[in-house]
Amino acid sequence: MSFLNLVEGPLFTFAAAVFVLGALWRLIGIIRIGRAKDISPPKASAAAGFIKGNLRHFFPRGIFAKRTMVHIIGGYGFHLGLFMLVFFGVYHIDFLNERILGFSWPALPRWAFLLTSAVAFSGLITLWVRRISDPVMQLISDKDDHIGSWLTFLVMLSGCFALEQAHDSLRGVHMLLVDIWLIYFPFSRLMHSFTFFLSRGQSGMTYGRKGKVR
Amino acid sequence: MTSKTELAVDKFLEQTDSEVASFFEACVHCGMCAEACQFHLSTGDPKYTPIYKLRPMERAYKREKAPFSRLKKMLGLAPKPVTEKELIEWAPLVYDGCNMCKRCTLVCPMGIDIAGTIRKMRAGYAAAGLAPEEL
Repeated sequence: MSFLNLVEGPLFTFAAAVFVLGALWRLIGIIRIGRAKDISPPKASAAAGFIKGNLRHFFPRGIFAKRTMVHIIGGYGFHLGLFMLVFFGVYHIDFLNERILGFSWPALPRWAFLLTSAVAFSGLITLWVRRISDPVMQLISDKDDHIGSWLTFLVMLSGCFALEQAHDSLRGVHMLLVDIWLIYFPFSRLMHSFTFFLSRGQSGMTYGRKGKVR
Repeated sequence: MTSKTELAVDKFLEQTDSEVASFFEACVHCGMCAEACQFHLSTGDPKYTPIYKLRPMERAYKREKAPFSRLKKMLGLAPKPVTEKELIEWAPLVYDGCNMCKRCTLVCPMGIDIAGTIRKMRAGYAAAGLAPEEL
């Protein structure tokens, strides 16, 4: 079995299984703790608060926007860029179509893919530089923050090298890093990709019940 | 005899329901809460970063109650246990360093209710007899 076959075959299957089962285990583990009972009479719907809380926190508050602009631009640039690269890159769509889903959808044209890559890289680098240079970020950051950032960066970088499809080994290195990323994901802070909706939703429920989600 | 630390940690864990757990699981250490905290803005001291004030409670959760906490303990990857010295060191941040204005909750991209969780953390301090005497 070649290196490429290994990382796209059995190792990918193993990594994907760890990713799915680990993420589910962690999400279910959080939910099954259960919410503390609120004995106060509700003034509005907690369920509506869950949805409002999730939507409201997508948008920065005006009074803080200026002070947090670097993070907002870096964060949105990176996350939206990465989402577009993962789900609208032609080779990713082909891989998902052939290996998992059995259907495809329109891909980004090459120029848009390259532009999106630049935005995503700029965002990720901005966030990481802020992490190592800002005194607040230095105080609150831990190993997991750096490992997650670097692993994601290396996955993206190796993806760029593999873009031309010139050598199987470059594609293999990219897939190996993807496999490692998938295995690391459920045990790390990368899980915020899924836990954010619980966090926003739970505080939305609390304040929604009090009629205070605006 | 139960130590003050055990009393505090037990209360922290009791107060950590799925809402608080989701906060600890979602925080990405972005530091945006510091830019909303009046204590941090007026002093410039990073220790007033709101999410940092919750660190002992977060550590207790991640060591004892979080999904994978047993596995991480077995592998020696769990956070260190909370100590009484640490709780005493954190008391000024938990009591004198937060006026519950909830600006940090508004700015947090994850919607983490930091001030509401500080209130729950204070319950742990009170249970352990570590709250300021004046209170």
